[in-house]
Amino acid sequence: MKVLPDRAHGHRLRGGGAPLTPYLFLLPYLVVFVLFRFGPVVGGFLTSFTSWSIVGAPRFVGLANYAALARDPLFYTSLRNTFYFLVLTAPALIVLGFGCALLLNRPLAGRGLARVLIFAPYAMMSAVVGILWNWILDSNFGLLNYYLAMVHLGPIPWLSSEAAAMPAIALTTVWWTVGYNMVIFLAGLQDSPPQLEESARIDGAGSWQVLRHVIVPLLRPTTFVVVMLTVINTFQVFDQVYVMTGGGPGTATLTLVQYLFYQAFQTFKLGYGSAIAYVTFAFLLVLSWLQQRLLSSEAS
Amino acid sequence: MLVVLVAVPFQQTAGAAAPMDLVFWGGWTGPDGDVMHQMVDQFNKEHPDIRVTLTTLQWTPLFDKLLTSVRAGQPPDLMGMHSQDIAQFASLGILEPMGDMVKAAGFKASDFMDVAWKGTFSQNTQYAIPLDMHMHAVYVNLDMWKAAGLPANKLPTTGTDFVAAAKKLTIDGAGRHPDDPAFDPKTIKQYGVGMMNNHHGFYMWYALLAQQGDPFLAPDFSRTVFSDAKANAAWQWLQDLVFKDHVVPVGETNPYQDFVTKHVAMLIDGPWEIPGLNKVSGLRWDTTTFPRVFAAPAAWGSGHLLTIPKQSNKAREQAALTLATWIVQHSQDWGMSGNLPALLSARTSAAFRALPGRRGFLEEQAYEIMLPDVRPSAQLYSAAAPSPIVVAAQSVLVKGQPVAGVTQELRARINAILAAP
Amino acid sequence: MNLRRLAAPAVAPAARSRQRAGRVLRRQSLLGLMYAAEIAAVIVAVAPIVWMVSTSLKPEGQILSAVPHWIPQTVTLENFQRVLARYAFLRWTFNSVVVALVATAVVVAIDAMAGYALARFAFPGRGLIYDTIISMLLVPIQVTVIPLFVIFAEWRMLDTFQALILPTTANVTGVFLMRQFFLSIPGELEEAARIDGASDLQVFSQVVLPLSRPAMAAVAALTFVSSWNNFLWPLIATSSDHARTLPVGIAQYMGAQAGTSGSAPAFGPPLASAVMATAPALLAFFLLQRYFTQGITTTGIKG
Repeated sequence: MKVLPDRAHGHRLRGGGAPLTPYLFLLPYLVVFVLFRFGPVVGGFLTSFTSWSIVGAPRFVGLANYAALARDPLFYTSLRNTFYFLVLTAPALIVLGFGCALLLNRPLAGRGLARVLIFAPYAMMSAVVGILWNWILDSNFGLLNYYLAMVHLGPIPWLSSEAAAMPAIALTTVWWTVGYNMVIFLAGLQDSPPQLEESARIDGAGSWQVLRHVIVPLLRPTTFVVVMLTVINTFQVFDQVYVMTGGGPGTATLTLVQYLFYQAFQTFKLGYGSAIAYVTFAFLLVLSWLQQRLLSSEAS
Repeated sequence: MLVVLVAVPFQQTAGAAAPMDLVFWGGWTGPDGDVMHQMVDQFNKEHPDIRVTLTTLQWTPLFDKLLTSVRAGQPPDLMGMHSQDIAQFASLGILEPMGDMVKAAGFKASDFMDVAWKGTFSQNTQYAIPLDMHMHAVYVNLDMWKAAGLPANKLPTTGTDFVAAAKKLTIDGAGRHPDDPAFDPKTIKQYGVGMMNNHHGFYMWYALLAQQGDPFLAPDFSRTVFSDAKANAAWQWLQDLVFKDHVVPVGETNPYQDFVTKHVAMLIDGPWEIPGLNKVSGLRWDTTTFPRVFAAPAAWGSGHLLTIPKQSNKAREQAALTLATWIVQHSQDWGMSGNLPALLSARTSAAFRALPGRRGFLEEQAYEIMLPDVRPSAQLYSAAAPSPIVVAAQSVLVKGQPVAGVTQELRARINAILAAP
Repeated sequence: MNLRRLAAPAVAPAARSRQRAGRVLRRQSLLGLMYAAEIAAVIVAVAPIVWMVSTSLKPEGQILSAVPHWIPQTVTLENFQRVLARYAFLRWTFNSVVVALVATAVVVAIDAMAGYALARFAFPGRGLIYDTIISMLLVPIQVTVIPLFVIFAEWRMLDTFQALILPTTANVTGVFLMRQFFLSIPGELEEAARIDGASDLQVFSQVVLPLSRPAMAAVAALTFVSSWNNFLWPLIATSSDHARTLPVGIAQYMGAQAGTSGSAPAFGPPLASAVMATAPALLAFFLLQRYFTQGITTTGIKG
C-alpha cells in the first residue's frame, strides 16, 4: 500500500518547520510498535530456528524444526483441517452477508432493527459464543437436535463425531460473524448511486438481471475487501475451536493455530511452535497474493 | 537443605503480622474439588497467619500455567500433580527436593501406601508428599441392575460377566437386548455402560495390556516394547463394547452425566465422582472392580501428590510445607472426595472403611498399575486432543478405526517422543 | 423518464393490464418472501441469545430436559450465584474493563499523533515507516504471541496488566484509520492557525483534535471491543486471577477443555457466566453501534 498522493487532496505538506516535530509525534507509537509488533515478528522468525522449552535457554537447531514440520503428519492434518474450515465457512459468510445486506437495503419495515439484531452476535466474545453453541449442539439435550428431530433428521452427535465437528464449528462461526460482513456490504450498497439501478429497471430489467449486471459489478471493491478479510480471519481460527472442541474429536478440528498452541504451550516447544506460526504466515501471504491477483484485477 | 532448616525459624520469627498469602494449585475440577476447597477453608480458619487461595483448573492447562508462572518468577507455592508428572518437572529443575522437608514434617515411608510413597521419587530424589491413590472401577446403578433381573450382590468382576451384564442392561426401543436377533441399535434408549473416550480410554487400554502381562515401555523408558497382538486385543475389546456389542453410546461426551441421568446403567470412572453422586437424589449405586478381561487382574491407577515449586522465598516454601503437612494429616477428610488416602492410618481407619461405595476401588489396591514416570510426560500423557494417547483412544472408540493401524501410529508417536533429546 | 415510457412500443391494452397484474403479483410475492427472509434471519440471529438467557435462569435439574422450554418453569438465580461464589468472575470483569479502558485511551492518543504525522508532514523515511506499519496487517497475530511471551517473561511482567495492555497499543488499524481521516479533511483551518502563530502542538491539540472526534470515536470503539474480546494472548500471558481477563476465565473454567476429566461442569453455571459477560457488551453495543459500524466501514471500504 503506497502513500496516497496528497496533491489529490489539495493541501500542502509541512516541509519546513522544526524537523523533529513529525518524529516526535510518531515516537510514542513507534516505540510500542517496534517493541510489541515489529520486534516480535522478527523475533518469532529467529525463535523458529531454536529448540526452547519454556523454562530453559534456547538452543540453536538451524532448520531442524522446519524439517520436522515437513515430516509431521499432524501438521498436514492441521493444514487440511484449516482449509476445510475455510471452504465451509468463507463462502457462507460472504454469500449470506451479501444476501442480508441486499435484503436489508430494501425499504422493508423494521430493517433498522433487523440490521442491529443480525449484527448483535458479533458483539459477543468468542468464549461465550463457544459455550452457548456447546449447549445448543449438545447431542442429547441440545436445541438443534431437538428441532432437527421434528423434521425427522438426526440426532447428530455434533461435537463428538469426526464428520460433524468441523461443520458444527463452521455453523457457529457463521452465526457469530455474518453481521460483520453484512455491515460492510451495506455500506458499499449505500455508497453506490441508485440511478444506475433505477434506469436499469426502467429499461425493463428484472430483479435478477439488476442484481447480476448492476449491483454485483458495483460492489466489486467491497466484495474484494470482504473476501480478503473473511479468508484471512477464518484461516487464523482459534478461539471457537479451543472453547468448543480443543481440536478434537481425535484431530478432526485441529487447525493450524490450535496446533501451534498445542506445541508451544501444551508440550512446551516454543521453537517448534514458532515454526508452525511462520509457515501459517507464509500460507496467508500466498492466499492474500492469490486473492489480489484473482479479484483486484477485475476491480477497476 | 540444612542451612534452610536452620534459617527458616529465624525468618518466621522475624514476624509476619499480616497473613502470608499462599497460592495453591490443583487440577481437582470434579466433585472432589469441592472437598479440597472446604479443606483449604478449614486450614485458613485454623491458621490465621496464613491465607491460602486454591485455584482448580484442568490438569493439562494447569501444567501450562505452572511453567508460565515459573518463567514469570511467580510459581504457585504448593502444586498438586500426579506420580507420572514428577519426572518431567523435576528434570526441568522447577521442583524443590523435599526429602528433608518430609522428614522434618514427621513422615516416613511406612506411614504411606508403598506405591504412593515410591511415586514421589524421581532419580532417587523425593519431590513430593503423597496424598492419595485413585483408579478406574465400575459404578453400577443398583435400581437399573435390579430392573434388568440381574442378581443382587453379584456385581461383575470378569470381562465376560461384565459384557453379559452390560448387554442385559442395554435396551432398545422395543425392549430388546443386543443379543436378540431383532435388536435395533438405532433405537437404543438405555445403554449398559458409559466410559470416557479421551485419555482415560488410553488408561483402560493400558490396564488391559497389563492384564495380558505385556510391559508397556522398556525398563529405561527409551522405547515401547508392547506386542502388536496384545495391544490390538486390548483395543479390540474396548472397541467392541461400542461398535459390536452396542453397550456403550457412540461418541459419548459426558459419561458421568449419562450415569446420573440414568442413560447408562454402569460407569467406568474414578473415585472422584463419589461426592457428586452422593448429592444426586434417587440414585442407588455401588462399585465393583475394573473387569478382568484377560489372564491377570489389573486396573489403571495414579496418585495425587503435593509438590513445592522452587522459589527464592524460603519462608513461603516453609509455609507451603505446613499446608501440605496439614492436608496429608487430614487425609481422612480428603477421603470424602472419593480418592483413597495414601496415608495408611487414614486408609485403614474404621471411619474410612465405613464410607459407602468404595468397595470396587479398595478391592483393586493390590493390582493397581500406574503409568511409567517418563521425562516427556507432558507430551506423552497430555489430555489435549492432539496428544498421541487421546488420538489413539478417539480413533478406536469414537471413529471405530481398525485397531491395528491405531496401534502402529501410537507406537510410532510414542517412540518419536521418547527418542527426542 | 416519462418520455421513455411514452416511447415504449404499443401493446394491446388487455395484454398490458395482464402484464401489470402479473408484475404486481410477482412484486407482492417477492415482498412477502423478503419479509419472511427478514423475519427468519432475525430469529436465527436472536434465538440462541434468548435461549442462553432462558437456560441460565433454570435450575440444573430442569436444564437437561428432553423437551426444551423457552420460558423457564422455575426461575432461579442459583447458577449466577454459583459462578460468583466459586470463581473470581468479578475480578476477571474488572481486569477486562481496566485493560480495555487504558488500552483504548493510549491507542487513541498515540494513534492520533502518529496518523497526523504520517498525513500532514513530509519527512525522510515517512514512506518506509508507513509501509512497514501497514505490512504488519498481513502478519497473523499468532506469529507474535510466542516472542511476546518471551519478552514479558524476561521482564518478569507476565500475569500483569501491562502485559495485556502494551501489545494492544501496537495495533495498526488505528494508525491507518487516523491517517485516512486526516488525509480526508482540508488543511485550511490548520494553515490559518499557523499563520496566526500557533505552534505545531497547538495546531494539533486545539484545531485538529476537536475536528477528529468521529474518527477517534471509531478508533476507540474498535479498540475497546478488540481488547475486550482478545483471547489468545491473554490466555497465554495470564496464569492467575490477578490479571486473568473475562474471556479467558470463562473459557478455562467452562469451555471444552474444562471437561476433559469426564466430570464437566453442568450447563447452568457456564451459561450464567455467558449471560453476565454478554449483557454489558450487548448493552454497550446497542448504545454505540453507530460508532462501531462507522469504524468497520471506514476500515473496510476505504482500504
